[in-house]
Amino acid sequence: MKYVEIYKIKQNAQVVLATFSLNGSVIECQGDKNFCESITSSGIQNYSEGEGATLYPKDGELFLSQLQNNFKSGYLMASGILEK
Amino acid sequence: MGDEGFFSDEYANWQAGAETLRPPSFSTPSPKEQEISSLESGSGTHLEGGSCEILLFELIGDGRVIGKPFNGEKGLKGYENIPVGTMYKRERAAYLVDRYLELGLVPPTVIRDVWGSIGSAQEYIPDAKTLREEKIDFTNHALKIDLQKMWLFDVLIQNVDRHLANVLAKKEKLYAIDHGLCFGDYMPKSVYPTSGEDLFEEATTPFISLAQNTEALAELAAELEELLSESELAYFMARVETLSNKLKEKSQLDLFDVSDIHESGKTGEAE
Repeated sequence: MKYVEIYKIKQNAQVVLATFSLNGSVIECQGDKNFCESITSSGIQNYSEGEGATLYPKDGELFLSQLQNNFKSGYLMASGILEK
Repeated sequence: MGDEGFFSDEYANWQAGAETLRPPSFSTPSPKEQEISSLESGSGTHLEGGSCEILLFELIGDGRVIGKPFNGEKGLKGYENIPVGTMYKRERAAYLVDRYLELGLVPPTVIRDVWGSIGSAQEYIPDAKTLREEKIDFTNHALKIDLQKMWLFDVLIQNVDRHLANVLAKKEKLYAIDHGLCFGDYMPKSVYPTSGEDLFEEATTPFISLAQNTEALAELAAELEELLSESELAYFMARVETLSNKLKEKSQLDLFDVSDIHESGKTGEAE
């Protein structure tokens, strides 16, 4: 199963704030409720098409792949696509 | 020279909270900038994730910083005219514009050694949450002003990367972060475009005032010369004037206005 972790800084380390998992064709978000709701409702930017569209969990693996470009400030960081 | 080192007496008085709270001139670095520039780096960590390399490390004596080394930068598709290896300079440039506007949105940011590489170092705001985690009351007047200022700021610096994860909230104050993709030739993006909404004077005054302050503008231009290309600086200066003119004429800024401001930057001629 493919998944992406979202890391948040806590004291001097990072902790997992939320995880997006691709379960079949469905992306599920587990973790911080506000965060999951925010992503589900307002989406993320699709940098794979330059000045492109918004991606939502329904966009599957493309959505997963673009999380890393959206969460890169340090305060929130997205892993690449992981597998388990 | 006082006991603090190389600070002038005037500067030392300001540090001590003298009546004049602003520094002697805009170009004088703030105490926090001085600290971030000069304090030795202590322990820290490479942060996992993201598309660029980012470090979080302590400054021996005071606080932590988010460090972005130039050799850890990665470009984004569609934004190729923002060269890799220049993003750290844009972080500093954005902070300087914020400082000259006296917005107080961007945490102090300097250029310094970042664990063996030149890069940007920005004050880390502990316990701050991004707007992805924290729901804010968009009707709160103070927050609304901050959001309007941030939008105008993003229009001015042509920030293509403003989204909910690049706005921090802590104790009813907002912070703007992640400015590596600014000052390029792209239309700005915002979390709070104000089309159809009247702009508050508290939000517009800094932009009008800076445009009218030729001395401050000259100082800012001199500092930005080190950080931006000649054309990027020229386009920015044109946008300062065009944005100010629009804010003096109108109480709202719609997308056509934003497009005009963007285009004035391209030609280098203010409207």
